[in-house]
Amino acid sequence: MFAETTSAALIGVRPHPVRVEVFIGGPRSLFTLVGLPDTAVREARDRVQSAILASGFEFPKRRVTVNLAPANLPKAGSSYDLPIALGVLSAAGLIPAAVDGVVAVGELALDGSLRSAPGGLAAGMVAAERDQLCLTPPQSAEEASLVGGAKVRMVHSLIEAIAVASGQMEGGIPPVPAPTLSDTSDLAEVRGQLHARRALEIAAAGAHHLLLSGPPGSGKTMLARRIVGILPPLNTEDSLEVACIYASGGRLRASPLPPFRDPHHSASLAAMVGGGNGIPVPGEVSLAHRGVLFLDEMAEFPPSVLDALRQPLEESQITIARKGTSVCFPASAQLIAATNPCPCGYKGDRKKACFCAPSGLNRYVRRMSGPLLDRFDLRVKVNRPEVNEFLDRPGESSSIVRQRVLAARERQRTRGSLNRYLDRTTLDSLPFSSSAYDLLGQALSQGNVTARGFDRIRRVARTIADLAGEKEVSAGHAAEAITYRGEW
Amino acid sequence: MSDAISSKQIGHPEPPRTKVWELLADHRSKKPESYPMDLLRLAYMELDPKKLSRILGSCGSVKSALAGMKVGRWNIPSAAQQKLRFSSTELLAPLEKIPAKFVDRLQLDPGVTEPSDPLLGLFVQGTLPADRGVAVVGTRRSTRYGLKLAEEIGRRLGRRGLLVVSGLALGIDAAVHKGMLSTRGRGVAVLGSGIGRWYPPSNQAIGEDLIAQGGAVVSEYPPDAVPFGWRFLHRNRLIAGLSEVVIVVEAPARSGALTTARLALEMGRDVLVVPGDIDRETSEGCNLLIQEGAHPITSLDDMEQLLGFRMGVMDSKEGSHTSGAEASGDQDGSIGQAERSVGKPSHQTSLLSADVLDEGLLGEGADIGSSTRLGSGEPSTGSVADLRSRIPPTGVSLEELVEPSELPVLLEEIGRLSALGILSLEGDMVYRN
Repeated sequence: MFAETTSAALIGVRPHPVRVEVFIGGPRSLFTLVGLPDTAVREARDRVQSAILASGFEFPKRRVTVNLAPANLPKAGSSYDLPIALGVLSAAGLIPAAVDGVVAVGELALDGSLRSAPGGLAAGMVAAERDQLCLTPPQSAEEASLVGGAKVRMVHSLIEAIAVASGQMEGGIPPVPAPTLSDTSDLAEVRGQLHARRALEIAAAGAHHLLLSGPPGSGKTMLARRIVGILPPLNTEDSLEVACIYASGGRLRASPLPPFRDPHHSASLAAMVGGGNGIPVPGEVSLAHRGVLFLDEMAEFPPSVLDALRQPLEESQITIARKGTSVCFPASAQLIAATNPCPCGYKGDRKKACFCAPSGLNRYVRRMSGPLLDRFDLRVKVNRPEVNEFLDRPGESSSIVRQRVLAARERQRTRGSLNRYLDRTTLDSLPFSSSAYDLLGQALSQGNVTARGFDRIRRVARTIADLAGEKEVSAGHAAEAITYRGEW
Repeated sequence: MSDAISSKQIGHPEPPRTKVWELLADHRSKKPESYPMDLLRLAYMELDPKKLSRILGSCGSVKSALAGMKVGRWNIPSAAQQKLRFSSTELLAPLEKIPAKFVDRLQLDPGVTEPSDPLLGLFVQGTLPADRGVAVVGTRRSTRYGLKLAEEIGRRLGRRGLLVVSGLALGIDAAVHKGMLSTRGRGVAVLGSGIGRWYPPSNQAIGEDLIAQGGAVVSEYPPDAVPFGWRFLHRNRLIAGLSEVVIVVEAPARSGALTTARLALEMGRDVLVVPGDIDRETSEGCNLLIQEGAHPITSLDDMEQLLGFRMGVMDSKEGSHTSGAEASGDQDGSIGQAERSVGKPSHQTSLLSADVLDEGLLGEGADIGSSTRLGSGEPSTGSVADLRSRIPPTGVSLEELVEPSELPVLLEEIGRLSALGILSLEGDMVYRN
């Protein structure tokens, strides 16, 4: 008469268990579904009915009521098909009542086979928490098995799901996703650009925001893309968090590499910070959480979009409110931006003349607001490489650089936080040699460093010291840090 | 000097064109009382130069041209027609507000344009010096090399007491005047906008300094005239006209500076050109000029010597004086500039102080902070210590200075020197400031 099984929904980045209650009883043959279902969930009735028939069972000829609890949580998507079907069969007494001990997700085809559906990750997390069996279609199993300790079983059809739930079959155990660290391009391919390379290394080590500026073809994009290869891989916890964000956008991400997002400059505000109708989906700034948000041709982005990034970058999270729900997505991304120095791209180039009208140039620079530019700890000019013998010399490879970055990150971890987040009081408390202060004071008094850039220089100097493996920031470290505060 | 110039002008093969100059002279002799106001009125009407020269040519006198306009001849735009009815107070009020004055063509150096040019006069803010100057022109989109050089040329001309003429545009124009102003020299800026209207607005401060230091900002366009693009090209003839010598610092193949240089050659002025890299687009125009016969400047001292012969500044008082920036250069160099060279010669102090700083710094560099790191990389101690001397004026790339493994040590030193404003790093290029 009554049966219950479990499914899961991802709201924002938090998994919520959803109880699927089925009651069969009453005179007329009727199938009702309650609990804030959206259209896709409501259509589950037809899919479930036909899948049950196609699997060789009889559909109960009485009133079937399905409740998705908690009733106030909006449910979306086709992933509730499988738990509903299991609940109906169990309530009708057609299968053993073991279904209350499983967490199931999956979309049913009319012939009773299973298709992938979102929710695999949430199901895995709920199952792991309750130490229950998690049934998913094969395509979602990889996602679910990202959760350490989840007992995930791949099932191909409704029949197989019943067999596994009632213990008559083992069910396939999904393969553990192999870490793929080798598929990124290597830093050795970048010739020359010593200063920018070093800046990239420092940016990776201290998770600093980095601005690269230079003419077209100078290798800004090439450099920026190679940061993934020198960043430390995500730990399990972080990689699960990132997977959650992706899953709430309906995407699967199982790689241990930090995410690298490079939205095109035509991206809308909602695409960048998150939004959407109904249940909010994460934007690029959240999809780049614990990784890199790369804005190529930053000046081409609408100023409104760039300014909307400021708050999430500062607070490492963004709250998106939509009718009925408000969701907080983490957004702790490292920003790397590349830009041309002017609309034609050749301002300041040694050989090619810039043909921009001065007024157009002004407008171009003003598109990137001061407060945004101010968030970049490192600003580096990249010029087109000279054609000379030095270009034949391959640069250091990513794996060597990564070793140094890892060591520097380790030092920061033992100290507490990444250097990007160091605030003034923490900076004051960290060892900073008096000669370094003298140097900065001198630069300050000569007007070559602004008071505003002072803390940024101290922060970057701290990272340089970490890369060198030294406890105290020396004058040399501070001096190098000054070279990354190019005029803008 | 003006005699010599006009004799050159007479030989100019341009007979069929109207001699606007003669026409104006005629007008003054016939109507001395209304003469300045008539010219001012015409200037206010902002007629197209070609049209104006046609009107004056067919009328034969300023008076009949104005009379014809009043009765609707020549198809004058309505805005210009309103000016015909302005009273003299109405015409003068905007000038008093700025304050500026109108200097008619006959009061100007006759060589300022060719006789057929329909120039009526100049609106002048400040005092327009009687002597001809040295024009320094170049592209608005200059490289840092060009900017540096322009500023240095400005300083040298300023110290010699030469009048520096330029266009007050961005880039080279602004840099040369900045350099000149730092030596308390005199200069003239010729605007492409109306007088009192600063374009670009960012150079207003430079213009005001020019006036404050005894120079002038001039324009042939009345107050509030719009800075149309063609006006900048048109005023280039005045930049050449107000000068004896034109120096082109940096100019791409299509550039206003190139027009100025060619006009100057036509007007019999000397043109000196700073040569540039043959693959640098911003120097293409300069190199073209040299190919056409302009004189290349091989060094700044060379430039000063050439100017000395041409402008007659480097003579009599101290014949033994050979090249520019000797310690005594400031006392003798500037004719009529004795009072200005009171106080310290600012350029030399700054050079000196940079050297002192440099030495002090390098000494310091050896014992603070970096010593621990310098100890680890043995070749760097030597290479870094003489860093500044290893950087050529055109800059050098990091790769040429050091092995990649030594990079952090080098960057430390560059950072140290750039903190003091001695070096600057752009991308992979290190420059001396």
